[in-house]
Amino acid sequence: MLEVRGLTKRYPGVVALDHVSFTALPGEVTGYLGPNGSGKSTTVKMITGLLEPSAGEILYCGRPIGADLVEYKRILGYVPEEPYLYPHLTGAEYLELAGELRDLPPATLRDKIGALLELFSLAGDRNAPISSYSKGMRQKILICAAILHDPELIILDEPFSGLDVHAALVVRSLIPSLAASGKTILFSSHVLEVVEKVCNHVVILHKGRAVANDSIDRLRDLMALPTLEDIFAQRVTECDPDSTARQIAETIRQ
Amino acid sequence: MTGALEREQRQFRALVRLFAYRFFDTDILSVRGDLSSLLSQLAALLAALSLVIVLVVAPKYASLYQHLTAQQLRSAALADQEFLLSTSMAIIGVFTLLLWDALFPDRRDCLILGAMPVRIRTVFTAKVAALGAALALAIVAVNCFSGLVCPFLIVPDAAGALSAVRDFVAFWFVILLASGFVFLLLMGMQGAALHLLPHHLFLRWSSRIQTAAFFAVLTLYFLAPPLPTANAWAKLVPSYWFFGLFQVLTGSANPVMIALSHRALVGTGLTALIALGTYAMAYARQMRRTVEQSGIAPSRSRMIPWAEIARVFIRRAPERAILTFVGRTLARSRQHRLLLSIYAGMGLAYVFSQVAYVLYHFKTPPPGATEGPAQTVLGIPLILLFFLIIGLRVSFSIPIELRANWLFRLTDPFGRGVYLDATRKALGLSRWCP
Repeated sequence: MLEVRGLTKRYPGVVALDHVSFTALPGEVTGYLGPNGSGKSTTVKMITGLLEPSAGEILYCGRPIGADLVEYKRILGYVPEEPYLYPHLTGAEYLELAGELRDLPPATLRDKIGALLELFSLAGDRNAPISSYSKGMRQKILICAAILHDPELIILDEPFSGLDVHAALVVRSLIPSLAASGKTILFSSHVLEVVEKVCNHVVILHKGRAVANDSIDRLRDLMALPTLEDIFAQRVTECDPDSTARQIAETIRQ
Repeated sequence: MTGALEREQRQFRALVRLFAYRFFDTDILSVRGDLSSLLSQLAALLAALSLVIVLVVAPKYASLYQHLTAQQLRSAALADQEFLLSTSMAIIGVFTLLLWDALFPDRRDCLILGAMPVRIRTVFTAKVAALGAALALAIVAVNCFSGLVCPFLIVPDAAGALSAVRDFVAFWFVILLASGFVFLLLMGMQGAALHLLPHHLFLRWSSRIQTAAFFAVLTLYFLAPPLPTANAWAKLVPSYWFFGLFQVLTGSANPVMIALSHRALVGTGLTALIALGTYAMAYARQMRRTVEQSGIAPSRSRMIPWAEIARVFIRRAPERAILTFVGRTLARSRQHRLLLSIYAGMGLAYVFSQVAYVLYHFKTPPPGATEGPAQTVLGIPLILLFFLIIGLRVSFSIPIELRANWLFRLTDPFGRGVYLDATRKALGLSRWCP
């Protein structure tokens, strides 16, 4: 179980995240939503140990993650929002590096890499440098690297970015099936339809604060709104999207 | 415990391999092959330089040994000793500056490796090991021919086999120390800037420091006064410190040389302290700091108003857009700036060698000199322009982001001729640079 308690991140002059608390349970997919700049990626970077919180704590199975950060990272799988990869390596070499750093036995690693590249339709490009990959291919490599070591806790930050329809459908099915096998999954995304389909529980962020934190069914009942999109619009959206769209159309006609 | 140790060792090996690749992730060398072929390419490139040095230094000794007195031979050999040391230091300096961006952990390392179950100390030691291996490879390759042949030629008064072995060992010791000094000095400079400047200023100034250091290395190499006149300046020129150390190690008791050798040892110790200190601090503090900061150098006030310049010279909007784009790319792209610096550096190297000729041979021109100081100085702008044009030509052939060229291809209906005209005008404007 992943517990976030009063998590706060301050930068000079800016509070990026303000006392956010939630719990992600094993066997469930927890959705983490919010507009750009709401603090989603900052939260994710703190949960993965890349950033240090200004205040608050992150517990995994009741222990602060900082108690043994290296051991914690061993059970963590992470798909980052920014597709940072080493472009001079091939897809297979990158996965090899990730597997070696995670201490997978060489034979197992080789088999897993071959199988994952095949399943993600990357087998033909396994020896091409990542610099020549499309955005979707890079995203597939990031997803493979995140699940290669069968992690207990999976953090997905915009995992559908750039994926083709087939791969997106595969990942959409993969997320609940990983959760069903007992993994804890935190899923941060802008794609509300997918979040609505795969998540059991959502946390909605706005300007660094959690403005909703409940199961989707309970939020629907409480707010008497039919979809997650309506709930999100009511909690977060500050201006009428139709009005903004009209203004844009007028601007380009000038 | 043993399992954890073995795990760290495996991680260490994987990281050393990764970092070694990243050092040479440059257009100068192909990175498509495996690491061994990549290192072979680099070693071959540097070994070729070593062979050239032997071909410059060695042949003359065949006749010198026959025709010169012992005193004259010693004097000729001193100049060659200094030449070998300063050349090796200059090449290691340029080599280090080419690795500049890979010396310290960057944003990519921090974001990728930061989420992996790897101890910072493992990342740090792997990077230090990879840096050490790259430096050792470069030193051995740069001196593989000259280091085997020259120590036996340039110390003419070596008496007996034992003395020759002593000179050989002294030569390699001083070369290692001098190369290490240059490497650590440049690394320490970047490390000090990384810790002393706010992150956004460091991003902006790092490539300027790299370019300035590149010109400083060339200036010192070409404009350092030749040995007979060097006494007053020797204290300030690092290659003379190591020259002094070599003299002391090969038996000189000259107090000037002893003082210079002290400078070499103290200088190397200090730079090692600064470089390793800033390096360790970078891993302890900078990895998290880098994740928090943006990896893009913020544009402050515009240094050169490209749009305004384009408005003055060009009426058509597509041409103006191209000219502005060219100017901003050359001003902001690290890769293009470095390429231009290399070509400008080659031009300056030639110019410096000419200036040195005027400075040091003006009163006593060598026999057979056909060119006076006036001709030498008059040729300088032309030579600089020549190298600038070649540098620009090469820079224009390297796309800053090939996949972003759809913008130009989609707007092609305005006419390719317009784009070509604008490119020519951009090249024309750049000739005012010198």
